[in-house]
Amino acid sequence: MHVDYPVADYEPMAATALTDEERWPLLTPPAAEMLTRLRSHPAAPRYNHACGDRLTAYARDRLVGYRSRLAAGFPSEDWVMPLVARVYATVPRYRGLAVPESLSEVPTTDRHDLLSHAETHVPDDADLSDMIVYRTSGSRGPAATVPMTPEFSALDLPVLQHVLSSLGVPLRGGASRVSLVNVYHQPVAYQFASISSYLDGAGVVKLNLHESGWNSPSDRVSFLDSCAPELYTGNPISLAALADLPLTSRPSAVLSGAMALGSRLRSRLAARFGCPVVDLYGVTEAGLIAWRPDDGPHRLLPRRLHVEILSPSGTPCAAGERGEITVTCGENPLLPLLRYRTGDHAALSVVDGVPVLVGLEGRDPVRYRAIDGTWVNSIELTHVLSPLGLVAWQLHQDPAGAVTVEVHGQADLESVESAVRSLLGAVPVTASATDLARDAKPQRYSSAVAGALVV
Amino acid sequence: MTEVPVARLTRRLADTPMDFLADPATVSVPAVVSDVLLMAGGPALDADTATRFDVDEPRWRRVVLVTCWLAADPALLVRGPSTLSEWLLSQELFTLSLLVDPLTFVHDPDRREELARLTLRALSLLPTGETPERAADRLSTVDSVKRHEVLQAAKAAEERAAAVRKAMEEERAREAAARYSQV
Repeated sequence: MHVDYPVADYEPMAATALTDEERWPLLTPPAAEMLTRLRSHPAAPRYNHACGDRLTAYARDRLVGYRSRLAAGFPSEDWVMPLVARVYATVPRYRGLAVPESLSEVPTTDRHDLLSHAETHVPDDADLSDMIVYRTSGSRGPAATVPMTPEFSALDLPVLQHVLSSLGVPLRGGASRVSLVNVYHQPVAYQFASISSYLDGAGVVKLNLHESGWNSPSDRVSFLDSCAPELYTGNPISLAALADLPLTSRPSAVLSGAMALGSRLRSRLAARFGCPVVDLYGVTEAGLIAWRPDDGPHRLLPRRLHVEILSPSGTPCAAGERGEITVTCGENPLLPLLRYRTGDHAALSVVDGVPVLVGLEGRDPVRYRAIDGTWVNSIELTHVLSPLGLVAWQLHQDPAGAVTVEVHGQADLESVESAVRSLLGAVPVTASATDLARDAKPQRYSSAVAGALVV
Repeated sequence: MTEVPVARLTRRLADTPMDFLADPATVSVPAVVSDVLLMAGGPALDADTATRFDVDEPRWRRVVLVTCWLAADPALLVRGPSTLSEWLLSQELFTLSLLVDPLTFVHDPDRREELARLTLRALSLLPTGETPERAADRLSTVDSVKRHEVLQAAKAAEERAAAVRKAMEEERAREAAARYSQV
């Protein structure tokens, strides 16, 4: 446990603000029983947060309708220009600008824009009363606070159902079942028990497989086997840790996100759990964008989400040509996105009539060896380096464990070195200022230490 | 379109006689308006229409008096009594009286130009040597009502931005809701 862990948000229960009635407006007695069961389980993790779905009956019904819309396939794109008109009329960032006649005339935006002026992206007529916010990980650029509605946050569920149904995997839900466990593996992460009204009161758990999050290391297996969830979601690092546990329960599917899922780990997970393994691609700001059940291209989801591939100068790439994935989506009423550059790269193509992202370049899952021999995920380093306001950095660990950090532009190099040491301990760390603009997309993390890449 | 030199009108405003700047409560506004309408070739106000100018709005009464003096310029009188009357009773002139100290239409060069240009526009007259676009552009630089609207819009935008920032900082928002996948 890193007692000096520098992310104040993770102070146990310090970030809770609601009553259970507010967390679950549609809580039924059976769902409440499930919640109590998860909260009071003798092997439960050390919960440090509480989190509901905050869904009203209206929002839940809309999510059910959304599920039907996905089943109907890709929608026509007649929603795009009305969205542009609505955004130009109501979103401060676009105030006073002439309404473009085509999407290609709309200026692009990106995370830097969101980071510095999030409030200028929220429509004037948007209801702020049920706003929730997420801090993005910062792995694709500076961390940003993303406003959204509970309904938009829960959009993952009908989307996951859609993905699973195309693999023949049902998501049953119901208050007698735990439907989903979202696993992390970090020194500190939020852990909470929840239920999903959309899934008829099914249990949902977010937990941290790191031993620091449990009263006893063996509790992890007891608790997870007791939950026997329908689905595990996680990232390659946490799912690799999950696969190492001697679990006897079997999920219906495993869904990986946040970082690229390598083929070896996919095979390992599929063999270990005997179920389909799905690689998800999305960004917090827009939700899930694409998925793949194998090592082929990522299939776009049939959402009202328009994907373009743009060159560095902002011109559209030809079909099959690599460029930056840029999305237009009005599904989050608090943050409609027009031509939002994700920072991720791929080519757009069509396979078997389905639009796909070819050669998606997400974040490489890299981990670093601390002085005491434990592994630290790159996302942890992102957490401590992001607050330093660095424009960009490249962090590399050599085979002997020495770390070099190249920082773009001006920076307090001593702070950078101590941030790295706060996680890795007394390893040799050398920070230097340099010009990272030499790369189109600087790769933040690399390592020559054996076992550093989770593949 | 007939053209009128703006400079002549602003000079005229600067030379507004003291009688037009007296305490408006002591002046019969309907009588002054009637005089101007007569000069423009129309009938004087009757008892009914006179009441429309006998309103207890001191700032507006003063603006009407100053505008009557301005409108007595021969180049403006030719536009006729009904056009003049409409301008004097317009919402725009009333709004202007709420935003601007009426005496500045006499004492301040920018406000003189504003009232001169607004009156020309209301009477469908062009400033000498200016295209309609040029006239609109010049007016926009001295337009108090428009400036007020811009300031109000900016204020509303800032208030909304502050409300959004506050909502994003609320603990209720930060507790967030469960997420089901990692992106």
